[in-house]
Amino acid sequence: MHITFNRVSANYQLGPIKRANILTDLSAEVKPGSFTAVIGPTGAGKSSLLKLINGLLLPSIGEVSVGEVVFTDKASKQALKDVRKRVGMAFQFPEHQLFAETVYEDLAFGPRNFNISDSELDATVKHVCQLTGIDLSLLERSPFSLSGGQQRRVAIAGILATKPDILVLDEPAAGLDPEAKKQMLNMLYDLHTKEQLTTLMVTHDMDDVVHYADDVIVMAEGQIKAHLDVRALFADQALLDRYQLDVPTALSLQQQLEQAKGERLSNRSLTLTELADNLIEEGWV
Amino acid sequence: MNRLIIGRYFPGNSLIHQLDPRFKLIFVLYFIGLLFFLDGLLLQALFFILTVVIMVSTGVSLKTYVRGVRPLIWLILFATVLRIITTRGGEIYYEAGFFTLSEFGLVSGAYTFLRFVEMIFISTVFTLTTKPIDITDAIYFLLKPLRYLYVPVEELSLMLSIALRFIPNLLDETEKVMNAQKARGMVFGEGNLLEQMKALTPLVLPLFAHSLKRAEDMADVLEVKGYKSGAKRTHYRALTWQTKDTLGVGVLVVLTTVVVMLNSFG
Repeated sequence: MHITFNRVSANYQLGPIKRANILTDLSAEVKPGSFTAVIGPTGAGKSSLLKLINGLLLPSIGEVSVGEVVFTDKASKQALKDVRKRVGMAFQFPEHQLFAETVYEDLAFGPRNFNISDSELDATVKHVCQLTGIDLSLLERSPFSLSGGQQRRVAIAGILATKPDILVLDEPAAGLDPEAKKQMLNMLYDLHTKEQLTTLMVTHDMDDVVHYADDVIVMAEGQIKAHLDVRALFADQALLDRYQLDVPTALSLQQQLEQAKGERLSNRSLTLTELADNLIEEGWV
Repeated sequence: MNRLIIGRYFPGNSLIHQLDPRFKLIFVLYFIGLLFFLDGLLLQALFFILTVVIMVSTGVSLKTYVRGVRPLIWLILFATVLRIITTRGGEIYYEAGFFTLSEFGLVSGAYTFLRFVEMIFISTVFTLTTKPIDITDAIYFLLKPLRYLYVPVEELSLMLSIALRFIPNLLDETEKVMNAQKARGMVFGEGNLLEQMKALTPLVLPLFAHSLKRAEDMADVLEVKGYKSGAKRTHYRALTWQTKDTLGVGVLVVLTTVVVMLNSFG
């Protein structure tokens, strides 16, 4: 589904303290079916950008459109409901949203809010369990009795249970061990490809950007500083330097090798396989 | 939640900000006490003007204070109306059994209203101009004599400062969980009272679960850092009593005298 931001500015008005805009004059277009990574330093407005997509934050100026629904500074309840049904949103540490007595009830919470029939509910819950690797024997347990990793899966499954067309993920793997992190991201990526979802993911890990994303949105100071494809981003050293962005492991390794040798490879490698190929091709090894 | 002004600190550098929190706390309590002894229009007007002068001198806009009264307006109006209909005297405009609408009733109703508003204003001045941590220190200081009655004052003040410290976190978390549940299709503030109460479960339960967990972590950290209850402690932040504070006490003495004089001879 198409997502467009048209000259959007937004702020949180907190009681009497009126803050400066946290997002200023954003314009961007996210292609349907694309996987977009959102990167930038903390406080750049990444999470706020994600909140615009399902109307948790409304623009003070400009408009956001998601599919056929358009948000301006006002939004009808129906529009919000429509959009939230189609957008699955995982906040940082989504396990903090678990509340129900059993895992089953928690997974059923979203679908019930969107009026899914009881006959479908059972199948949906089982389906997301399978997707996220939750053992069906856990369904009757209390979510609070699970381990941190399992809680995360349940929380993500609860978000997938509403069958969204758009996935919005705010560091979905933060705080997980490397193995669990890989599993989680691979699972989400598979789902993205299989169901042709449109996915936006905030991440700080450039290797994740290389592995999963098609496009990258670079944010800083509440603005979109660049929106380009992954290869173009890592080819642009000036851009990387300006926003103090890390580079993927392979590229960092390549740069160290180049420095040691005093020469440069002609291509920039984004993965270790690419790096190996480039090294062999240019006779460095 | 965002409208609640009481309990928020507005950084600033006004005279009121600079006063010792111990003095401010005493002043607020004493001032509120005095409010109950005001007889007659002159004293009422005097205290109202004084309250407004203090509010203006904090440098915080008056609008902010008015907003602080808003969440409590129904309570105030309830007390006021009760006062009006139960007081009789002077000219009686309307009478129905126990309830009367009389001249005295209206006057004392107006005074009740003013007293409530002034109470809220003056306590808001205190919390807006004093850091929560300083408030805790001031309370600790005032409770200190209770140590001789074996009241664990140190522990109470530690609990209080921890509680105050985590209010912003709790607010942040509430917003976060609320957003997460909204994203899953939850609608807050819809339906009848029972439905609305039910709707709070997905919000309140995660908050409880998380707070309990954090409290446990906190207790562990305190223990690891060697905190022992009942141990003798010095203070990192020292409160300094200045000449202005002594002058402030003078103001209180003068105010008391004025109230006593006007009440007996006015």
